[in-house]
Formats: sequence, C-alpha cells, structure tokens
Amino acid sequence: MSKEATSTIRSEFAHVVRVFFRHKLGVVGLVMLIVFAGAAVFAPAVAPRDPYEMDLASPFLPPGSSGYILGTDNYGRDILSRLIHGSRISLLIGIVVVSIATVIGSVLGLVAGYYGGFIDNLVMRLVEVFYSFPFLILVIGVMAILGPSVFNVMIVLGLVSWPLYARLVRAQVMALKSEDFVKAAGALGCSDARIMFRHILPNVLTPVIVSATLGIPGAILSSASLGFLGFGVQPPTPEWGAMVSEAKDFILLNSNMIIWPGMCIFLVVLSFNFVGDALRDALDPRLAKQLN
Amino acid sequence: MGKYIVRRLLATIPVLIGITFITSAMVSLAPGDAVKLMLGSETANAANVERLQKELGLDRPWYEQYFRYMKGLLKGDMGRSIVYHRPAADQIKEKLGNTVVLAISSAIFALVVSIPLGVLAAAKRRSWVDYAATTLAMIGVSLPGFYLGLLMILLFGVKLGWLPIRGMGATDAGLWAYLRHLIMPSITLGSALAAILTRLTRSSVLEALSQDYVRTARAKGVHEKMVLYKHALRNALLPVATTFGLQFGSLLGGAVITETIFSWPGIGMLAVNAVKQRDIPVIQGTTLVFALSFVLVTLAVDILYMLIDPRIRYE
Repeated sequence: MSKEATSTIRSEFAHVVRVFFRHKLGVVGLVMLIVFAGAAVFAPAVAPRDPYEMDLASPFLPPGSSGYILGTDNYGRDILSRLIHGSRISLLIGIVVVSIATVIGSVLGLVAGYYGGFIDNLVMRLVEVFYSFPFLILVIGVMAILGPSVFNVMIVLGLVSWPLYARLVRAQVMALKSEDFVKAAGALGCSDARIMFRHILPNVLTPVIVSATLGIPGAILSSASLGFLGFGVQPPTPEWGAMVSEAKDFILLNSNMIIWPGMCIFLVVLSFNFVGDALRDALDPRLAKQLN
Repeated sequence: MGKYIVRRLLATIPVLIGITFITSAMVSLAPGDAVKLMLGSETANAANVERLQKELGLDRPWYEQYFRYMKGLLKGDMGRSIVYHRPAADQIKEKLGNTVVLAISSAIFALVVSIPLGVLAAAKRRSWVDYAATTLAMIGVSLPGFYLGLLMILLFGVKLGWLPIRGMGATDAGLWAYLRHLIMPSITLGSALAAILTRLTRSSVLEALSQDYVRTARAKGVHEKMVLYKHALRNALLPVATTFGLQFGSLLGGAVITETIFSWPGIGMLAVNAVKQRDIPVIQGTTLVFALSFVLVTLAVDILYMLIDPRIRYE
C-alpha cells in the first residue's frame, strides 16, 4: 500500500475515533463494557468467593454483610461472585451469537444480492419465513426440542438471527453491483467468489459492524429471557437470566436476589446500546436511517 | 391497488408453507426420539413408543407426515395434547382471547405514552424534557421485560400493595378488578415498544420540522402549535405507524415472558407450559398460531400502509 493511502486510512480512523469520543454516552458505555469484560476475563481472580460454594447456614444475607458485598442467595452463595462469573457467560453468548449470525447472514446476503434471480428469491423467501416467526417463540420451540445448554443457546440464537444481516448485506450489494470497480474486477477475469469477498464485502462491512454491535445486546437479552423462562442456561450455572428466574420464587421473601442480576443485564445491554449508537454516528451518520 | 393486494396475498403463500413446514418438522427434528421424550423415562417401553409413534404418524415418510399434518390443520385439527388428552386447538382457542387483550392494551399503553412524549421532546429540543424522554427511551429499550415486571411486582405489589400481582382475578369481580390485573402486565409488555416509538416519533417530528413546508407555514405566520400538530406531526406519523404495525407482532413474542411472570392465562403461558411438559402437539399449535397472527398483522399493516400513503407502491 502506498504511503498516501495509509495516511488517508489513518486519518479516517482518527476521525472515527474523534467522533466516537465526542459522544459522551458512548464513552460511558465503553468504560462500563471494559469493566464487565475485565470481570469476565479475570473472573476467578476478581470474584471474592467460589460462585458455586453453598453455605446453607447463611442464606439471604443482606448486602454489606461481612465477607458478602452484595449478600447471599437462597443457598448462601455469594451473589457478587456469581454475578462476576455470570458476565463470562452473557458476554460470550452475545459475541458468539452475533458472530454466527453475521457470518451466515453476510454470506447469504452477498450471494443473494450478487447473483439475484432464483437464488435471491430463495434466500429472501427464507428470510421472510424467519421474520414471520415471533423471534422468541421460534427460539423456545427449537430449544424445547434440542434441550437447554449454553452451547445450544448460542447455536439456536445464532441460527435464527442471521436474516437481519442477510437483508442488510443484500441491499448494499445490489447497490454496489453496478459500480465501476466491480465491473472492472469482472472484466479483469476475477472469479465470482473473489469479486464478492475481496471487492464487495469490504465495502459493506461498515453497516454490518454497526448492526452487529447493536445486535449483541439483543442476543444477551434473548439468552437472559431464555434463562429466565428456564429454557436456556440451567442453574446452578450463574447465568444472569437464570439467577433472576431462581430469585423470582423468593420474591415475597427477598428482593436482593432479583435486583442485582437484573441490574447487570440492564447495564450491559445499555452499554452496548450506547456504544452502538456512538459507533453508528462515528462510522456513518446516514446509516441511522437505514438501520431503523 | 387491487392488483397489489392480490400480489401481496399471493406472496404470503410460500411464507405460510414455510411456517407449516417448520412446525410440522418440529416433531421429527428432535434428536434421539421425540416420542421417548414425550413419554418420559418411566413409560417409554417398546409398546408405548410404537403406539404413540403410530398415533402421531411418525412411522411414515416426512412428506406424508406433512400432508397429514396439513390435512388436519385445514380441518382445524392441531393434534391432541399428550398431557391433557384433548384437542390442542381447543386449548388454544380458550386462551387466545386473553393474549389478544393483553397485546392490545400494551399497544395502547405504548401509543399513549410514546407519541406525546416524542412530540414534546422534538418540540422542545435540547430542553430537560427532551433529555428526560431520550433517557427514558434508552432505559426502556435496554431493560429486560422480565426484570421490569418483577421490579413492578416488588414495588406496586409487595411493598405498596396497590396492584394484584398474578392472574386476571375472579370472573365475577367486575371490570375494575379486571383492569387492575391488566395494568402491570400491559406496562411490562408495552414498555419496549413505547421506548422504540418515542425515539422514532421524536426523530421523525424533528425531520418534519426541518422541511420546507414547515418553514413556509411559519413564514405565513401560522401559529407554532398549528405548525407542530397540523403540519409536522401529520407527516411524521407515517413511519411511526409502520413501525408500530411491524412491532405489534413482536408483542406476541414478549407476551410469553409477561404472561409467565404475571400468570396471565394466555397462549404464551400455554406455550411455556407445553414446552416444560414436552407436549409437542401443543408446542406446534401455539408456535403456528403465533406465526400466523404475526403474518396476518404484517399483511394488514402493509395494506393499510398503502391505503394511507398513496405514494407507496410496492413493486
């Protein structure tokens, strides 16, 4: 790459960073995410106790009890330690789900948009069928059949979330297909695969990145909802949704168990939304409309 | 116009086929044996397995299973509940009304909150009202429905004792008691939609306010209130109406969670219980009904949309 090109890319990047950091809420979100990610990565070191260790002699301790900053749950387990370990599961699920969905969605969208005709029709009908199921219902139905586990949650959520990305990429590809650089690549004898993945794909990545960032909180919310309903990650695994689900049986007795895990889900989702919004403004202000 | 409606109706046919195909396949997709799953470990002896397999038609090839399933569906037969030994369709019919009521009251809640709030935020841009509205909207989008529901139960049900926390009350308790049971579930289910619509109303009113016709109206000396309500709002409501229609379908999905929290006896709760009991015919039936209502709502929205806005012609 020539020196000039490198410097344009660098200044574009600098511009993106500048616009992003002008967004106060985006920065707040980023900081919160770093905290959560830190908790997730260093969970065994940061968590004061073993998240599974029960102490049946001291259940439902209030926050601030000695040795238990956020108190204990019905089995006397340390709530804070469970929350810290829970951040691993939620962040992992969010990222894996969106990765699966963006890869499938981008490939199908590329192929549909590039070839058009029969393939396009087929993919778009498939997208419509997926869109015509209320998301959660479809997921519950499939989870019911596959059985609950972290792995299944990720696979199922990933496999039903791709249509959004397919639609997005297809629309972009159709617009780009008639551009000169694509025609030139074709005239030079590039294969279809090369044109799609080397020439077109990099140009449609921006909206995909933005909607993927905004898709992570959706995936986290869905997996928490599944956990809450009892169809996702199962107790005693400290998944936040499952923790709220366990806590709801004690709602008349103890509110402490409900408040903290719910708060964590809320804060993580909020942070991703902040960051996603800021990223969208920074990368491409026109996108705001297309994504809505 | 008639031509468009016909084409739009025809386009839903492959979608319907796809949906029925998926619900029909739900039985055979189960790894291991769906029948053994349904019977549970105690009763899954060879004779029972074979009997149930025959009853469900699982010994036939898949296309025969699908046609058998479709033939039943067209006659309104969704199979029999394995747990309750009665037609799944009857169970669904009993509960569907409750879910519809909940979805409609949530939608009303969302509209009543979001449109005035969005308009106000746009009219007083960068004022405290605007910041409060956008913050509330951000919270509404990020708050998990089940968390909001449980927090409200803690506050209004347990602590203050103002509202009932479960069910829909006795049938003879009167309208007021019924409505009181409906308040928290509706807010829980409608809050995310309210948040989305607030953001959208705000941004589309802002966009309308920047248009030439608004400047013209102002230049003519039209009163600012008239400009806002008559010129800007009318044009801004179109995207709000579309999103409302599209999102109305997703209220159905949220109903599953809301009904579970508040023990509201709708088909969402029926679906969850069916999944817990591995009652596959009921799972198939509820999934199908949810998907069908979703498709019909979207269809209605599309057609209405075209009637409202003559500029729109789908190709």
